[in-house]
Amino acid sequence: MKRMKALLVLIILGVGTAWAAGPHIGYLYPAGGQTGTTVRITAGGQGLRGAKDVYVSGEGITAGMVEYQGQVKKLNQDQKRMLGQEVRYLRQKKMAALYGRKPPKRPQPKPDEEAADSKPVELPDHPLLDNLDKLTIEGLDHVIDEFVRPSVLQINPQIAETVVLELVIDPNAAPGPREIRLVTNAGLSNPLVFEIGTLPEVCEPELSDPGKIVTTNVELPVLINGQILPGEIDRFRFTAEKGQNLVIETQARKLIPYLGDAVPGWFQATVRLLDGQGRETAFADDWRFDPDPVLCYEIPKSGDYVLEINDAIYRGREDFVYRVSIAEKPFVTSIFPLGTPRGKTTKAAVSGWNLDGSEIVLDGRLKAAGIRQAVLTQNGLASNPAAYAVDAWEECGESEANDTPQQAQPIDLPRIVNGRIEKAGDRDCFRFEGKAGQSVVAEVAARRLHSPLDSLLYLTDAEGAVIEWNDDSADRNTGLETHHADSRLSVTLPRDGTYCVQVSDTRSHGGEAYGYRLHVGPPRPDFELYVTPSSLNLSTGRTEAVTVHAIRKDGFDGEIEIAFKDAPKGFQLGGGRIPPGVDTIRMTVTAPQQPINQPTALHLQGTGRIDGKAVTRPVTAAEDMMQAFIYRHLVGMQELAVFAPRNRQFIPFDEKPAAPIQIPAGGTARVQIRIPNRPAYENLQLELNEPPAGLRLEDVIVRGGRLAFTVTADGKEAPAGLTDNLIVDAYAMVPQKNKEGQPTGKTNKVSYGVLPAIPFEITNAQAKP
Amino acid sequence: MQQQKRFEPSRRDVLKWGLAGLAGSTALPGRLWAQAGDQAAPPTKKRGPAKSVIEIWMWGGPSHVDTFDPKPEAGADYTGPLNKPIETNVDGIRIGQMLPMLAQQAHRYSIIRSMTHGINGHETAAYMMQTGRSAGERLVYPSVGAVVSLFKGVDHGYEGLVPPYIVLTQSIGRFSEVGFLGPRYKPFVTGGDPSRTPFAVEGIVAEGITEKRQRDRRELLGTLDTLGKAMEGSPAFAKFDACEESAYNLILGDAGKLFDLGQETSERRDRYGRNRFGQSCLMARRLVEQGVPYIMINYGGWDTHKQHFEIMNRKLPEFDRGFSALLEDLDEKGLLDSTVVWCSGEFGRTPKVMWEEPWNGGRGHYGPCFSAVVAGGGFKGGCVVGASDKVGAEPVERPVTPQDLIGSLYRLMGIDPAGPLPNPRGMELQVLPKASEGGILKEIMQTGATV
Repeated sequence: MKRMKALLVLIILGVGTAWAAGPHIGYLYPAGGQTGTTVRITAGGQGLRGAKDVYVSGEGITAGMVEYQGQVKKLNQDQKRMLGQEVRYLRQKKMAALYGRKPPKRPQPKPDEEAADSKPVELPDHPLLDNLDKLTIEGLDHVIDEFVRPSVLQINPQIAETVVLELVIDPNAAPGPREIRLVTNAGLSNPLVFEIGTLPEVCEPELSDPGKIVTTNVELPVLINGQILPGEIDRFRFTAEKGQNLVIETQARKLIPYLGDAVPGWFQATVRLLDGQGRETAFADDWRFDPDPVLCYEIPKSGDYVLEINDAIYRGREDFVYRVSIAEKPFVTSIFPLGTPRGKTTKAAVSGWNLDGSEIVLDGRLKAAGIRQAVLTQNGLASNPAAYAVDAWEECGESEANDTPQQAQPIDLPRIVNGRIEKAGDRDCFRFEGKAGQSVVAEVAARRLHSPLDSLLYLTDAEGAVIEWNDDSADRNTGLETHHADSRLSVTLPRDGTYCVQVSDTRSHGGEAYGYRLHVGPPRPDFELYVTPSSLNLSTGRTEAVTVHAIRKDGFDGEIEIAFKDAPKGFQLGGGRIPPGVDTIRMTVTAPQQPINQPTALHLQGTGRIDGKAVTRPVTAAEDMMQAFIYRHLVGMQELAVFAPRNRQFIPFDEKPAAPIQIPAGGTARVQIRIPNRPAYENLQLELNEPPAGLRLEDVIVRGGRLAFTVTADGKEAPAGLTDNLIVDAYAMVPQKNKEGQPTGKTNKVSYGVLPAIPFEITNAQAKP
Repeated sequence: MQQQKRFEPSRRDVLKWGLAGLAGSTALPGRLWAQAGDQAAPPTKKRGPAKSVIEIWMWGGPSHVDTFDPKPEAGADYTGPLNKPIETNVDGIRIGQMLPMLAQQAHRYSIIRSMTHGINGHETAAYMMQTGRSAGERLVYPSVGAVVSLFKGVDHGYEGLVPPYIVLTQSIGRFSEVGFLGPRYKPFVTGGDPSRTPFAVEGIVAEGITEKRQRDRRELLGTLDTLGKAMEGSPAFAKFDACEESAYNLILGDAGKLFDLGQETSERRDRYGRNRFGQSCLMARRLVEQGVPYIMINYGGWDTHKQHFEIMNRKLPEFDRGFSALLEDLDEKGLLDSTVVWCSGEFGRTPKVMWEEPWNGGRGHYGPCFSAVVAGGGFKGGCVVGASDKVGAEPVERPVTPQDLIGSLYRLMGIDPAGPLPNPRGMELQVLPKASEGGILKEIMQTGATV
């Protein structure tokens, strides 16, 4: 996770130690808008002071800042006292009315409060404080919790600051998710999803009284934007006609995938549909394994219906944001097959709601292998995206009956079988001829293609003896998949003969939607690459660190060279090599010395050698997100956005990245870097930033345009063979001056970013005494 | 930020550390306990088994680097503002700067700085620390308290006023203390708050009800008990009447007085701290005086993902006062030799401060390395067992597992960790799995302390 030093100084507990934090947005509300409209949205976050611009990915949206609202909930003592008195009085008044008692007297200001020179106490402009006298008792309690007693409740500074933005959405803007980042004086924020839709949109009424359940009337079709606060249930009444096939589709986790400080680690929305008599007619708390609920419901009788939405365990907070659509819109529940060969198109059978046809085109032309999405559009309304795979191997369909090893369908390797567990308890068997010592990988792709199949995979020999089996393969914790269930096994065949691969569902479920793609063939060494964070805050000439993650597949263990692709002139990558066998490494990006005043997308790619051929893969920008206090996920973003305004605090490095420095195990290496000969650099200090164990930096000398230091490797903790990049913080301790320019005796730590990454290798060479 | 790393020592690691620890204890006898100085390890004498255990359960997981394993050299990213540890009254032992009173009691306790189980989830880690067993086995094993209650409770001659396993004041929750042993060995959870008067102990001391009113109520109940009168002589009712009599003896007899902290001097109550934790420590000492075998002080509030240092500012002084007073008081009353005191959470906290949002200066769960403190009952004082690395992230010397710690405690209580564990199903089970001699904390046990 990013943490930029020397941008914003945070004094903790008055001890004078400085830590820094970059701008961060925790929610957008509303988290989307309709094409052809102008919407005002609130962004809640931290470190947003000085927000001055908005960066939206993609085309067709013009965005601008309206105002920074700060932490409106932070009241001073006078405001707290006054609000407390008022709420106490209103509470007593309501209690008196409830029990038929005499109403209390409004408290009078004390004499010292009436003094002519005392300033009137004003409460901040906040919807919760606008109509205190109309709140219920629970609503008044909520006001106290929010404004007067925040110190005894969970404080959420990460979403306490708010800014208001205005977005003009072009009528032709492509529907779908975009990313919004804020530009502040302290840099570029993280991205959050903003959805462009085509349905008419409404927002739930402003939070006036969370203690009261309010039912809001809406007209279909509609997309409702809302926020859930603690204990809150949002209700919407609409009129529907008999026979309407309504699709009620919720977006909650899709908008804010993971909450680090919540269990479950996201807003787990539930939706409930009530009829005119208040009876529950339908309920959903998910869509198969996707936590965002979907209800497909045929209206049995014309009349009024009410939709309720809340958190499954009645939590809530400003970042519990949702979008829920109610419309007769197309909704795909399954497609078959779940993929197409690369270079071809396939017409897949499609099932779902409000679909005119029964086919969907899976386009594999001009697309690299991987997972793609297909969307059906009917009456101007787009369906949910259907995931499908594009692959290079030859494909075949499953032929029933193949339920037993004796009935196994013969296949040649390598092969992709498009199959389906058609009914509960079904099992699909495929046989192939193998040779002793042959490496075979069998892998099911189902869950990642939105199939509900929880696959179970067996490989047996001709006699039925189990050679290998697998339920779930390693969960790589990437993306939004939290119910990983696809199987994979890898074996070396023990002898020549016939082998059988068997696919079934772990829970013995089955049905039309239980499709899968079974890959059987030799290992396919490959890799995926991610870079975090997805917002890179630089300034002219400055260097900062990024982390590149390699997801290695089928035994690929080679080195990967990372490079820019079509980068603006002047960008440099330091330490852009992932050594063999390494999965995660930090490297550096240096900005050009000309400013980049608008956030810009930067592209990286990685090249490795597989079977003697150079294979290049894109590096996907990602955020390293935590959920439920522990689990981490790499969540892919649309782009790596970089921002590099003018700043003088940098060191221009002219030298190209050098070959790895060689450090003898238990010994030292001297590093020299040429820098401009300027007085400002004479007090430079260096510090290793999250170094590998056993390495330390010492003997820093800055002289005559040379920066030199020694790296020492502990013989035990940093053994021979270790290769990595050193990331080195550069800073100067600058004497602090008061307003009159006089020294205060204190110093400020001024960061110069980091040095370009220094690749190193611990060697077996004899350490010099 | 620092990645939370799951740390699971391999058998090879454990063997390596074990040998290293053994080598260290042989070749460098000073390394482990010469630090104790003159005040540590009183002259050897023949001891019997410890009689009671007080467990201070720091639910949520306290930061080891802010308490008993400070790392000022690791820099501000690790220490936050707590970067000035203090010397204790035992040469060479430093502890966190917020624990000055405990610093003066270091000769009475030993610190284990190499606790490890590698689990970062509350429930699983708590299960391991409370049972000495790995989670995920087929059976749900009983906690230390339930096992002590089994071996030292009413089945083995305990005739105390109150049940043999007491929890002050709230149940751990999300955890079954008794496992398969069943309700007979369940703890008695007091409820209430001992820092308030009266200490409203669940079912024993009722707030706002005098003893006379309690007697009047019983009499009224008896008058209304028409069924009981109609069924006079029924064995079932006789049993019920006996239970009722015991219950009223608890409420109206000496047990009520046992929980009356007003019988302590005001100075003593102040010394412990006039808060729930401090008065729970005092209550624990009173229970030890009554011979209660196992007392747990469930001391929550250590799960400091956010506002960590603000919470440390509030909690550590309270902890320092209460725990130090308990050790001092037990010793002064001659009870420390027969009372094991142990103090730990289910894990430690990330050595590196999480400055980023949403934590804003918090610490996360951390099971790969943390600290525990033991005192009394045959444990030596003034010692440090094991060591963590430069930042407190991994044990580098003498890793201690929950099984080692609990096994040592059992030894001091006269319970054989390798002995059979009676259970309702009649299964052949051991008190602890494969209790290893190498793991037992012999280096900090008084000679002759184990049975």
